[in-house]
Amino acid sequence: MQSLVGISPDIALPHGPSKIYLDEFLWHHPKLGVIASYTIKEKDTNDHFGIFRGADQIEALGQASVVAGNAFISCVKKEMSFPELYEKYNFVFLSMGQAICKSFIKLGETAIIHAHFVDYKFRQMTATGKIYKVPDGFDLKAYYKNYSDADFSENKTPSNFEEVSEFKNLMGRGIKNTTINN
Amino acid sequence: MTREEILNGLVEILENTPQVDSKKLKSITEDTDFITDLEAPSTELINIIAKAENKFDVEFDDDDIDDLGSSVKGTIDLIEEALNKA
Repeated sequence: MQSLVGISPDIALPHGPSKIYLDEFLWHHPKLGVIASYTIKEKDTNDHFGIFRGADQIEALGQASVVAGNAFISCVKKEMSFPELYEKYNFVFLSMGQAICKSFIKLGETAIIHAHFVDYKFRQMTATGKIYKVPDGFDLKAYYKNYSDADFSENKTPSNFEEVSEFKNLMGRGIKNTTINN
Repeated sequence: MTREEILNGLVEILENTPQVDSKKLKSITEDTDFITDLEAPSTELINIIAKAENKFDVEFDDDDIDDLGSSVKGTIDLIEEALNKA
């Protein structure tokens, strides 16, 4: 397994379908970070004035980074698939720093999640990231196909991507399932 | 290395951990708990263990940390076992 790109989020995440906030991994470097996309669905905006909630944006960032990105490292170390890993471990949210919401994303619009891995040790990962709104019809696969490590480090995005939010120092950890189930 | 030497090394780490009140380190023993007695955030325990790797020149596996708990004794046990393996 070289990267998360090409792996469906419903495989890379332990969550059930109603709680998955990622559609596709577009770029990934196990030591640097991950970029994923998500188009806002009706279930996400029910009872919320047609807008994707800030709390769910945090969840999307967390799923991309401290769950999928974190679990990927364990899968490689332990030579396990994601389903095998999730039989033994789950990846839980621990804490976060600052949350800044600058704009909003509506039902049917697409978000890009840029998550930078700030720290990783013993299955505990800290990530910082931004969420952008993507213009209609933008070919994300084509744009990120040749995206480089340097592009990622500079947070390079097209000028017509709108920055929606920024979340700092989101921390999560992989723990044994027996800890949760006892 | 004796357990007392390991404890002293841990104290040096904790003295440089901003979230830990250094005054509480004067009475630290193996029975001390990082979270309830020293009021270290639970998320900081991983950083303390990572610093212990560098301090004592040992390496821990992810699985070693899973059942570690938050006691000083448990951490000393872990470090001593790693030193004995080295």
